[in-house]
Amino acid sequence: MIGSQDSVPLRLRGLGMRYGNGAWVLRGVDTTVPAGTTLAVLGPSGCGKSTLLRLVAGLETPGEGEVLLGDRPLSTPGSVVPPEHRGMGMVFQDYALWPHLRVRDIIGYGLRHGVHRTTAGERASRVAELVEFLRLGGLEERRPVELSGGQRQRVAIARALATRPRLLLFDEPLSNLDSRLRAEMREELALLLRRLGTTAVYVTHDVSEALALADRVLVLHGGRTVQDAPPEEVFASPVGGWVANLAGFSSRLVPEGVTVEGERATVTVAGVSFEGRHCGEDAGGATGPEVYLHPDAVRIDDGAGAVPAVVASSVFEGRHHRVRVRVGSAGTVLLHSSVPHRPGDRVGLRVEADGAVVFGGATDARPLGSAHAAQDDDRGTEEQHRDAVHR
Amino acid sequence: MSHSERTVAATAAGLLALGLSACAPGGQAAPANGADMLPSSECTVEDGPLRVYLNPWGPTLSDRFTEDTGIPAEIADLGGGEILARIAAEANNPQWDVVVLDGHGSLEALREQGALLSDHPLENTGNLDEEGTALMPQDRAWVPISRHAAAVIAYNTDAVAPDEAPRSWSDLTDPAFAPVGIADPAVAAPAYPIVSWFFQDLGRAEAEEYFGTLAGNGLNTYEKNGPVGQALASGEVPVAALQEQNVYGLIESGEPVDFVWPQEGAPGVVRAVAISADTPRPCAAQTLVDWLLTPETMGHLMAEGGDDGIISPFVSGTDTSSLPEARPEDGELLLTEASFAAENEADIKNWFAEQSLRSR
Amino acid sequence: MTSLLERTRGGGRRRGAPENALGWAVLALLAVLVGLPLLFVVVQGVAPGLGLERDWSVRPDLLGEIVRRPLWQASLANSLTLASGAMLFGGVLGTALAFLRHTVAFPGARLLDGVAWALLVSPSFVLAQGWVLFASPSGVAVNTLGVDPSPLVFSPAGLVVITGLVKYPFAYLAVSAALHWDDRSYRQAAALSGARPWTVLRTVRVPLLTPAVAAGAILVFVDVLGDFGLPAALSAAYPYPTLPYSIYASVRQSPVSFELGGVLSFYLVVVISAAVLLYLRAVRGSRYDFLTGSAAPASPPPARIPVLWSGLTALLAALTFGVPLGTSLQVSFSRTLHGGLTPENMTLEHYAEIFAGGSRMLEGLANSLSIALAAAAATTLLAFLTGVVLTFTRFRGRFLIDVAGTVSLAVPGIVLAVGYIFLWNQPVLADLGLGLYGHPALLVLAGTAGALPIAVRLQLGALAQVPPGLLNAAALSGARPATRLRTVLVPLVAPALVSSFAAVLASGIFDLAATTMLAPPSFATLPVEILAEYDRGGYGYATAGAVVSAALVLLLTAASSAIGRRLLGGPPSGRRT
Repeated sequence: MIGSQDSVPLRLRGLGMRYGNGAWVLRGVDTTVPAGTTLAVLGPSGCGKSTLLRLVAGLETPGEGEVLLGDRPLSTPGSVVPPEHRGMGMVFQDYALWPHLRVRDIIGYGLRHGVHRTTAGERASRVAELVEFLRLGGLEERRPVELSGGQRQRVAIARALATRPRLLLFDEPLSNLDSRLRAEMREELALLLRRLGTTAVYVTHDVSEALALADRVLVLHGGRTVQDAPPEEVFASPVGGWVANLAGFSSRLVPEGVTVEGERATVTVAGVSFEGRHCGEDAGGATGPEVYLHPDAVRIDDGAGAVPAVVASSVFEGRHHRVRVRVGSAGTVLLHSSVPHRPGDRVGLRVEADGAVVFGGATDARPLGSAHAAQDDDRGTEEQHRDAVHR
Repeated sequence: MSHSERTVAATAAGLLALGLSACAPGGQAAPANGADMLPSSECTVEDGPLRVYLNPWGPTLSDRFTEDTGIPAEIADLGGGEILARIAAEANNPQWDVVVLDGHGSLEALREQGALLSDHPLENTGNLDEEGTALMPQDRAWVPISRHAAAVIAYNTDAVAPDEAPRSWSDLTDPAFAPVGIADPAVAAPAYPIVSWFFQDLGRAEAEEYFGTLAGNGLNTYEKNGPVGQALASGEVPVAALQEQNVYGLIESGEPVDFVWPQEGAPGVVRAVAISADTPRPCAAQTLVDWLLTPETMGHLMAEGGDDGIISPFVSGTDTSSLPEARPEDGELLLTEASFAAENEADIKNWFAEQSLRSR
Repeated sequence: MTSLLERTRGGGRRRGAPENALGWAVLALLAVLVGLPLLFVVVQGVAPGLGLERDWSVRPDLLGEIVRRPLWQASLANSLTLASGAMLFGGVLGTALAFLRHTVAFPGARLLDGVAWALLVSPSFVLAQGWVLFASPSGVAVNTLGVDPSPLVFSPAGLVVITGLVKYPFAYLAVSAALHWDDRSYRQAAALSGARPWTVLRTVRVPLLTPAVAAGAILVFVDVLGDFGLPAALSAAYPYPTLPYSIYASVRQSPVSFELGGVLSFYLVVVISAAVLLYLRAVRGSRYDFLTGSAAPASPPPARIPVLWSGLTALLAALTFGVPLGTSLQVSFSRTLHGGLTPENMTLEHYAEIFAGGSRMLEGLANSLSIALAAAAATTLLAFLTGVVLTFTRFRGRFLIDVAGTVSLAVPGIVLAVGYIFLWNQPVLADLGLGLYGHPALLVLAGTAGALPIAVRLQLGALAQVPPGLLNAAALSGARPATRLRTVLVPLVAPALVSSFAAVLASGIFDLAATTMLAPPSFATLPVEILAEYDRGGYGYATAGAVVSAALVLLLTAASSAIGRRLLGGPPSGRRT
């Protein structure tokens, strides 16, 4: 058996933490990760997601709220069970593999030096088991510098599993890999988490990882929870422009008009109307109506009823051309096209209804986010926009 | 650190410093009186080694003392100035029981500060000759044991012909003899008795003028008498006011050096012994002093003490046959009064230290 | 980065207790080792005799007394003259040599590095003693070479030159460290942008290197100002009172003058603090701090006239290292100094005396070595723990530790030693059973305090390279705080630990300032034996002792740097854990 003996739920109750200067870096996070499931914590850098993970790991002391594993409180503002006694395993962003040790000793470290010390025989068999499970055979005598990125990743996972933790923590474990390896490891991790059946918290800024690995996604922004839902729901009904952006709806347009009918909304952009899903008011607190488009849901189609636009740039990316077009004063739209376009060309756009999410335009305004979150909204979108460009 | 934090820290530190010293006696302590002590032949020797700060003799003294009396001794064999400096730095925390030092003026100063044991019942002071008894203070706080010339006029025979050599101290002001070598009064124990005698004999103004003239011509000061001798032997200085023992040593090793014992006499230095007022081992300390005042001890120290044995002892009946032939038997020694030397010590030494800056 | 030092207690709650306990312990040790002695020195400047004599008074006016005391003025003026002059001369010399070393390749170029390190670790008293015996009116130059350089050397300008020749390695090594990092692509980028060589030098190279040059020169200034070995050797030949020597004389020569020691220490610390602040400013955020920088040497193109540069290097080595050590060597084999280099003046008697059974010099050698070993071990451990607190904890008093570390960089050994006399002579300590005055243990404490700032800097550099994640990973694997230090941190910074141990050991063997001030009189130490014999005029015996100590120090340094290199550069096959 590779995972832990029994699965336990993780509960966070009103968890928050302040910086030394008194500013809250995380506030009022409430969630439960049912036993054996994976929670992805999604957000851009600086949103508090790493702090959340460090609070769970016992590397930070909460300013308010508590962390419970099973029924046992592990962290409260007054007392924190130190990390070595929490029975958790963690995979670090930079792997944190000790450069002076060999793979065998790195994996067996906790069983030799930790509070879960075992006999040398038990340690050897556990290390052998993990080496096999993570396909590290033949690398036992190597040091971290002699391993490839993917191998390091697997050693880090093996180390985290060695002491049969009841909770696994992942801190952006794939962010240091190149894009091809990242996709591979994503699949591998999804498989692994399912096989292990261990409760896990997975922090990432990459929407595809969150959607692929998680049973539930917690979206953090400005230190607060903005959405806590299954991945499909985050994709289908983001609670704000900012979540939509994170979920891949990377182009933002300001429509001239919005008509709402239940879950559907009709927006008018550059004099042309198209349909999208209405997601209520923007939880981020944006005032006017907005529409967010997914690049895969926008096609160039010069037929009638298409939204008029002008090509700004077109870059060949192998599988497709990445085309950015300007739609009058409403904004710019990113899309993928099988053929190149010349900057300055006039084109028409057609938008699939499930590729557009619409905020605002409804009668009742319900601002969810704090003023603080609203303030940060632009920066978040901007960053996410850059991420999208890179990907 | 903010300004107020700094202030608090500084205040706290100051209070701490005051607190540490609060236990120390603040005013002038009464001199330790040993009048009700038992003499060395009747008292019980305390445990632990006797700590002796000494300028002459070193292990020659301590080894024989331990052999004769069975009392272990731990010696600090230091320059005279260093001994005085240590005693001063340790005034509140003395690390010594007995001091043997060339320079009775310095011991007189310590006596006046109450740092020395007094009125204790010494058994062998009767062995002192008339001159020694006359020197010893009434309360026996320090006991003179011998005297010798702190300086004679030594010259390099390659640089100065014997018939042209200076005959008296006033001859040294002749620019032909510049630069004159001398040991630094602040560092070398025997150098202060030289200058203090000039200050006593000539009066302050004239003495300052005398040394000022020497400095104007060129006066090379060295830390100790040893380097003065080296400089003289090498010809770096043609003439030096050099302690007599060093002169005999140079002559013996064949260096081109000779000397003149001036008609008016040579400034002398008195070697004396004293006990710390705070000693936890008064009996062992008295034993040492009484032991020193025997002709046998003095004879041994003179015979085995090398340069340190070239002295005129105050202890009657001492065998002086070990003295070198070069030493004149009738050389007159000029001694500064203890109280004058004590009173003016800091002033004169400071004047000298600053004189060497003025002359450059 | 906080998970280093928390631990469970009674059911596994409580956090930060060990972290804070360690922090307070380090802070308390620093206060005792550096803070209190310094405080006592300054207090003596305004309240002379406090706690030391039966009579004392509070006299804050003493700080201004300098205007009326010629000796105080001369000490300050001489120190400033010497330090500024040596800073200029040594700075220019060191910088020029560093440029030479890293601009062209020629046979023997590595000798420049070797000479610089040898000068740096050799006790300055030994070097200065060699120079004095070389240049004095009856010295080696007169007797062997037939020229008398004494009027030239024993003048302020001459002393500046000698001091510069002894201390230039600070500038050389600082600039060399920067030149290691002097990426050629910066210059190539400028050239491709159309800049001519002169423009490249003016706009790229000089601005990049200016902080290093400034830092090196300031290091020379700081070291000369605080150095006691040089004035101690000089005092025998030439009355040139400097601050360190006058401070020494104020406490160790008669008449004792605590206020002089206190006031001059105050001035000395103020001047050096200002210089240290400038230094830290110069190296801030840069890689110019050669104490922490470790870099692979670049390989410059071959020189056009290699013979010229090789010759220059040989000449420099002969001048800076050959003259003082050669002089010491010759004098150590001579009967008398003024006898010169003649067959009848040659003798082995001084070495025979040293190596005779039971000689004070041998005893002193053994004692000094033991003290240095103890101080090196204590310093390395304390510096490691200080570095850990500064790097890996959130102890609230960290800034105080930081301040203490910076301040102690500015406290020269002689001031520290005077502070130890003032502090440990307080009778209240003896009453508490802490009467360490007159005990060799005090030498270990003083050695530790003196070496701590450099050791901390060495280790901070290494600790900063360790990602906190490595320790957090160990914590999550279940390792307790002490285990994390032992199994993760210590192996990772082992080269820094070794080199800081070696540096402290090498400098501790000949810690002249601390030993002359603090060694119990009956406890023989190497520097005190040599200094005493030198003062007495026993130059042959003194130089023989100096030659033996210099050989020992160089040997130890070379051995430990070899060990350090092995730890650092060993192939990954070397060790099993």
